[in-house]
Amino acid sequence: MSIIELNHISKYFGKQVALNNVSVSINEGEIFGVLGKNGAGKTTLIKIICTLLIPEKGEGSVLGYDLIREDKFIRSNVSLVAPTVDVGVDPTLTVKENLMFWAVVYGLSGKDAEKRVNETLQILNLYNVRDRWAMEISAGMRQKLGIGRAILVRHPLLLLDEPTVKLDLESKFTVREFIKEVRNRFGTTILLTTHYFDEAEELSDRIMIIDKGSIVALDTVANLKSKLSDTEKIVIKAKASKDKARLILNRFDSFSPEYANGKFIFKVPIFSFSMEKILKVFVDMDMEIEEATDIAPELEDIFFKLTGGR
Amino acid sequence: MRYLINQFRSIVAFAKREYIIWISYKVNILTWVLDVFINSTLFFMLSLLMGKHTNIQPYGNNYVSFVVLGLSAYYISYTNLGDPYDRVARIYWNGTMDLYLLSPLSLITPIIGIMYRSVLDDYPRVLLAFFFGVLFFGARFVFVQPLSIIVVIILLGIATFGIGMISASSFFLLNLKVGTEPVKFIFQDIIIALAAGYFYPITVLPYSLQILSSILPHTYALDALRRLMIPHGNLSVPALPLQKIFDISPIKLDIIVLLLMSVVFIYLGFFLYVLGVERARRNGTLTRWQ
Repeated sequence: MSIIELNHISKYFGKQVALNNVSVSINEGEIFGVLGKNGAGKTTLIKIICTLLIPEKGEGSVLGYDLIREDKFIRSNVSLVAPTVDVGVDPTLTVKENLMFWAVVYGLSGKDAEKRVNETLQILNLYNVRDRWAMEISAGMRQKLGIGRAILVRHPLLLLDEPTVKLDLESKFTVREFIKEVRNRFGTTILLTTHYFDEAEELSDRIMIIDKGSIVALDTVANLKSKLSDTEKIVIKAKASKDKARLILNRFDSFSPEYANGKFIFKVPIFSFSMEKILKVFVDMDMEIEEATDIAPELEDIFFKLTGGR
Repeated sequence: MRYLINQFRSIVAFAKREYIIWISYKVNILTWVLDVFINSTLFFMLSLLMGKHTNIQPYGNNYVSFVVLGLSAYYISYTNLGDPYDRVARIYWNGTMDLYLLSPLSLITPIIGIMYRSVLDDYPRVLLAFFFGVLFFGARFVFVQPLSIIVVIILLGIATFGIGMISASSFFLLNLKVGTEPVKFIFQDIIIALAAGYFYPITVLPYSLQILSSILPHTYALDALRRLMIPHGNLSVPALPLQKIFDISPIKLDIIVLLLMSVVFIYLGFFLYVLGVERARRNGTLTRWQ
């Protein structure tokens, strides 16, 4: 079932095109990643989905509500985490007081609010610091608190705009694990924008690459790699004399071979099953193979191939 | 009904949060008490000096009481009129505007909720002004028609909040996110400063300024409160330009005009604010997050 359905959405700011004829359908329970450079239109897309921005053209629905006519229903059924770490977290309130305040804002009260807040603190792994001021906890914890605010009510759709930006590696890891848990535990549909390729690859069921307001690719990571990358790398670690190494390099001239530090690297057409052919030559030349690896194309390579530059 | 209960609960949650934040600044509380004391003392010293030479009829015979009521209206007006714009600016710049918009709250609830910080800060000054006035400077009060007094105070609060919302709407409507806000500047810094009659009766002003004062809710609220709360206040002699035109009791006229102003300013304030938000949704200036 489709949770978000956008058809031919366009948005302009003066002469600048923010989104151009974007059509996309996002399924229930999916983690949908959006990758794009700064100014590509990622945030504009999120703002239109949560109806904080009205598109110039196009139509759509979110959670079954019409994007234009039923905007109020969409707004009160969607949760958002904006990129700034501290948004919605008051530093002079304790961790628990922060969540209790938002619980009431989201329509929970009394024991329901208390129960939900405690439950959320447990999930966030913040229960032990519940009575500490928000200003005293780490940036990663505050970001988790921000996401915790967003999941206090079990809205079916969670919008995360660069949720791990400005976080250190450890905090990034905990936030990513938490995002996975939110989806697995509550079946929440998550739309995630990010600059981090590894994050998009790790979390997303499907990825949309957006450039200058237009969709340039949309598929699973595996499909994107297989469809959009024409080469993969084969790395073979083997002991070779200078003569033999030269012979190998000449033999596979068409695969742009390189040899350094005892490693041969070949760029071969994807799905060409070249590994066996190459290894056979090594064996025929009585070379001792220590290791042979097939390296799939990186999402980063595909991204820059589609959007230009690096 | 459930919707209204949720809005009310949220306002209480805001009040609780603002109170926790307010009391967490211990030094602030000390400076606040000192500030109220020094300000009150300063105004009362001035009032004592001026009192001997000022004719305050038909508002009784106690100039200190006259000033206490002027100061009280000033504190209420300062919060209600000036705060909505500041609060909209605060939630815009700290990024919580998006979060409130993506919640079951009405557009106005967060503004009223966050105003509690100023209510906590400014409204008790009214009580302190009465306290200092009565205890140290000889102010005396009576409470003729207590229901009318309560109605007038409530209407003054509503009408000034309405003007405050008109001011707040300019944040989105005119996209004025920094610098001087014109509605607040015109009302608070020009018309009110000149013609609100906080420290002198409107009757001592040139006629043109008396006419200007006619568009302020303060004029009618202070007229009614001073007649009803200062000993020997006269309930029948007209003093304001409008009271000289209509042949009805000044208090009744004050309440009618305040009621009309409350309805008009509140309606205009809410209408313009919603219009501003809708415009900002179109042109992409609703939230700071880009």
